[in-house]
Amino acid sequence: MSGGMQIQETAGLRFRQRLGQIGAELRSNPTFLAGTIIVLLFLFLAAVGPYITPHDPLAFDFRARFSPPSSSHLFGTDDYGRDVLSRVITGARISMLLALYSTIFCLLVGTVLGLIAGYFGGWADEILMRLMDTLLSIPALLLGLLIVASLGRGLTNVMLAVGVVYSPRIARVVRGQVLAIKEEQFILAARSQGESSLYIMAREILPNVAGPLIVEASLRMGFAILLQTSLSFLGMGFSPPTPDWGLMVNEARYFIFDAPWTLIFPAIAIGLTITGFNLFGDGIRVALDPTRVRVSRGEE
Amino acid sequence: MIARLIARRAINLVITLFLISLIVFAVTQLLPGDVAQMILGPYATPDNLAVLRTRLGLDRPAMAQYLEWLSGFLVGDWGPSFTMNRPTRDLLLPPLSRSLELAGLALLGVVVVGIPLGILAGLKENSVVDHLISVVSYSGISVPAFVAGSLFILLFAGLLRVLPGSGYVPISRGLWPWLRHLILPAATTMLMLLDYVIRMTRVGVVEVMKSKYIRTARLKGLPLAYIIRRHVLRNALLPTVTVLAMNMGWLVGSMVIVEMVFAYPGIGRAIVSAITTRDLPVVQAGVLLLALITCLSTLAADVAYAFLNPKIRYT
Amino acid sequence: MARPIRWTMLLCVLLVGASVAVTASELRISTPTQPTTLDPAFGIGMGEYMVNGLLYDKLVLLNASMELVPCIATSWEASDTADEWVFYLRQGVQFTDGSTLDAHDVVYTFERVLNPAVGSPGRGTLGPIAQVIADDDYTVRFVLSVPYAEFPVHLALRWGGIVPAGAGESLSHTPLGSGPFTLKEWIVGSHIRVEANPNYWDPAVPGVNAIVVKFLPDAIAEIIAFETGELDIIAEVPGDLLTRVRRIPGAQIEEVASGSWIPMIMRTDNPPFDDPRVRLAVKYAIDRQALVDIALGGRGIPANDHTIPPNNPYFLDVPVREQDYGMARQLLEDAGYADGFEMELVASMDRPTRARVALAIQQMVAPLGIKFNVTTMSHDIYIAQVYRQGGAYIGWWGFRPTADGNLYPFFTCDGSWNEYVYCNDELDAILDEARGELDLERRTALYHRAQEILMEDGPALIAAYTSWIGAWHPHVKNFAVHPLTWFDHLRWVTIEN
Repeated sequence: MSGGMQIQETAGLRFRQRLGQIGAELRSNPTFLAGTIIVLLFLFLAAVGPYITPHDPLAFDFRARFSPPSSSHLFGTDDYGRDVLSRVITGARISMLLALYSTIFCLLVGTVLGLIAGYFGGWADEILMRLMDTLLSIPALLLGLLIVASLGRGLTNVMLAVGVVYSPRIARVVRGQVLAIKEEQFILAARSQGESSLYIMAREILPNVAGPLIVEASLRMGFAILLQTSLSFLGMGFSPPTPDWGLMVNEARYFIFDAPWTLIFPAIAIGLTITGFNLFGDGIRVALDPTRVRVSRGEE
Repeated sequence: MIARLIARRAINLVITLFLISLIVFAVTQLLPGDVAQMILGPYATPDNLAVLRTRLGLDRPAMAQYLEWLSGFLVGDWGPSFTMNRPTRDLLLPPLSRSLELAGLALLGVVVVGIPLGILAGLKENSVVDHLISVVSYSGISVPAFVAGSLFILLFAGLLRVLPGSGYVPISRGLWPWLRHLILPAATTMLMLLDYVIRMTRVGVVEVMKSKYIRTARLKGLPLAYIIRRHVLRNALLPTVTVLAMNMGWLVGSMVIVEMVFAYPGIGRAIVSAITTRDLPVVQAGVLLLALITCLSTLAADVAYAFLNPKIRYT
Repeated sequence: MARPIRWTMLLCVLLVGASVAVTASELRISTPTQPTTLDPAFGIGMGEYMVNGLLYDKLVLLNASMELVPCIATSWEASDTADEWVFYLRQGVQFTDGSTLDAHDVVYTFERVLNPAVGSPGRGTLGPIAQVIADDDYTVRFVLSVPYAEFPVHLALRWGGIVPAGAGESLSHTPLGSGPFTLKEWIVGSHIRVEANPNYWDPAVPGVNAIVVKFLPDAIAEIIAFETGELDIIAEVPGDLLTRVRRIPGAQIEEVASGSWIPMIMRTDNPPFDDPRVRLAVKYAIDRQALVDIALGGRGIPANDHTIPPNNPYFLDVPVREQDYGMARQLLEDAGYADGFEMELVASMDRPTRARVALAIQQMVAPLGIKFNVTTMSHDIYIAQVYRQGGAYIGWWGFRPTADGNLYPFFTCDGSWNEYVYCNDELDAILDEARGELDLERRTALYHRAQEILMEDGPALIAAYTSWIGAWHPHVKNFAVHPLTWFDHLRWVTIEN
């Protein structure tokens, strides 16, 4: 019994020491800092959005259709005379909430499946990985489209679609990590102590998987916004008049020549949040493991 | 060893495809809306609808429909499309080849643009040029394709009026008309891969430049251009190009939104419009086809990797 | 260094050569919806209208001035009671496979569309045909179940495209007609290319060597293609983009003030719209000109809750109903809805205009205490769950060529498209009588009365007719916007250099 405690303490100590190093590393990383500022800005908008919008994002004003940016409408107005700034701010809540929910969904589902597959191996691994392969082999956007088309539009269903699309990717990361440390001394020791599988997975393996998981999660947030806005752009995310960024870009394409501000501001918001999450995640990745370099494709 | 790897992967592939067929069939059954009503529109009378439902076999149990569809798919008979009055194959294979045209051109562009930029960034590691390249390629993956594509259309077709913003012309009607229509969608597709390629090349170059034999060569006084051509390029490019070629499957699947923005008649657009018109056979066969391509190219990539780097083990 | 330059020059020559090789007289036009079939018995979208109009002939054609002109039929006449019509056919017309077109092909064509087992969507639209008989090789007789004065117009409908006897399902992908063009290239999702039929019976037709019909579901893409010269004609310019089209140098723009009607369906078998006073109250609450300005961007004309547009000879020319909240409140009070009511109003998202009409109505009835909760949904779900089921929703119908076609199927008790479940015996009697009335003045009086009934009692709030806007480059000649958005007249279009 005491031996097990000893090992656990050591693992905990190592982890805490590493945290200090990582913190120092992050503070001096301009990429990470830029990402953090952007992410915090949009999180702030998402949190207080409804209280700070200068106008009602849904209110029509037919006399003020297509007003260019001015002091009363900083981002101008759209075809119904709605205030674009208010809509972009309100849209932040939708996108951030969606990114957050779907990433939590992926993390829960992906981690559990990845842990089971990696730790138990054998048939459980075989079955789960075939299922993950299956979902991974359907192009992300098509899978998302199919799910939303059959369940219907709206926050919950889009969240579910994004979650299902990205869970297998998390599961793979977790499984890989588990395989890498499964045979390490402290795990073998805990196992020989007769600890339950659940205990080992939760207390020994999970903390060691946490690093890559955080990196993956922050990158997934960016991808979640990418996928969600793409779905909305195709008319498969939210119904009008929801102030969703993808939908706003889609609707604004009609007026781009006469009222380019209706397209440009939501487009900037989309690009900026995704960049923010990517920089944020990259910064953490570099801090955790400076030798690894990010190599990823767009829209994965 | 490699033969075993391939055999194992082939079995996995079959299982994966079977699961996809199940999932896709189940999902298409869930799609809301009456297929017959969708096809005939508001003009339909009840007896018209009944006739159509029987003709499409929609009045039979789902399991029977699935088994018949699956066995047909395996022997290459993908059945008739619900809405287009022609075999599903004819609605998927020509668009697939057009998607491959687009993907091929995009890959070519990525190689031509991305690899020199990657080499440049690698040679001037951590310089202003390196950071500039990094920022530009970063925006490529942060701006969604539908935003980038829309902006390209506005700029090159709307304002400058130099390139068509949509459509497709077969190559049989001339090389230039064909190419003009491909440039903007290919450029948008390129953005998705550019960052990837630049970074891979950059890493390779940095590694090679630090290696002992390059240092020796430089000490010997060989000109830099010669070293780059003889050693750096060869060693840094092989993995990049191999991996790129194997990404074809992923690329074709990821071009859906590009094809939508540019009204390009590729397979992604065919499937999306089939989803909206409830053309279930096209959706089912199309998704399965794309998945098959993705799986095969992943398999090919893994095998190629195993050849290139025998140390990699597959579990 | 010399070698690359030479190669570049060769490439340039190739590219230039290739771009010059485009056919001189080729017309390029677009449609948002692509054809799903080229069998004239099927198809409901604009794509089929356009392409089938080029590949097939009909007995008669309706040109852009809404006049019937001969095509396969050179002349026609009615019996005194208007329940039998005889058509005399042109001789020497050939299908594009070389076979001769005669009366048996015409009989086959119509019997096929009318056969329930074939399942043509045009079955209910060709008029009250009881029997089609070939009197001889070049004479066809239509026996009607009821007298019908406007019958020949129905034969110009898209489903009247004449196919060879015995033709069947293969027409959908290998069309076979006698029209001025033949199919050369069909790339699903991209375009269809047709080329002139060298053996066409009228040597003056077609006016161009080839027509390319491009499928561009995206209005932005369409406008840009038009600007860059990739398109010669835009068949339907969305009102939102009109200002941009106006800025294109030389662009010819025509606006026909009756493209479609956009009813708010007030279903009559449930409260509150089972009470005609409630329906009338809603009609009084609408400022029709304001609705045209707000919801249609000014691209339309105010309407009086019926389906006969001003360019129809039977149009009842009375002032448009003024907004009158006092009258509306009184009607609501009489009906027992003094405090108004709340209900869902559904608009499909297939075009932004539907939602705008719904939102404008919502705002205008709000002062009466009527609260419409506007719900938007994708068109497929709307068709499945709301169309012909919902209590209040926004519809969208194109005008038909005859007064009867605009009224009978929609508002008679057993009408095939009566989505209102509306039943008014007086109206039914009037419409039945008008069908067989050969005297123009008496028929006009009957249709005027029908419009009055719909204005006061009718189940549809029709506040506006949309405009139909087309645009074309100045080198396109003989084109006009067809009030019914038909495209048979493309065969007469020419291109000037």
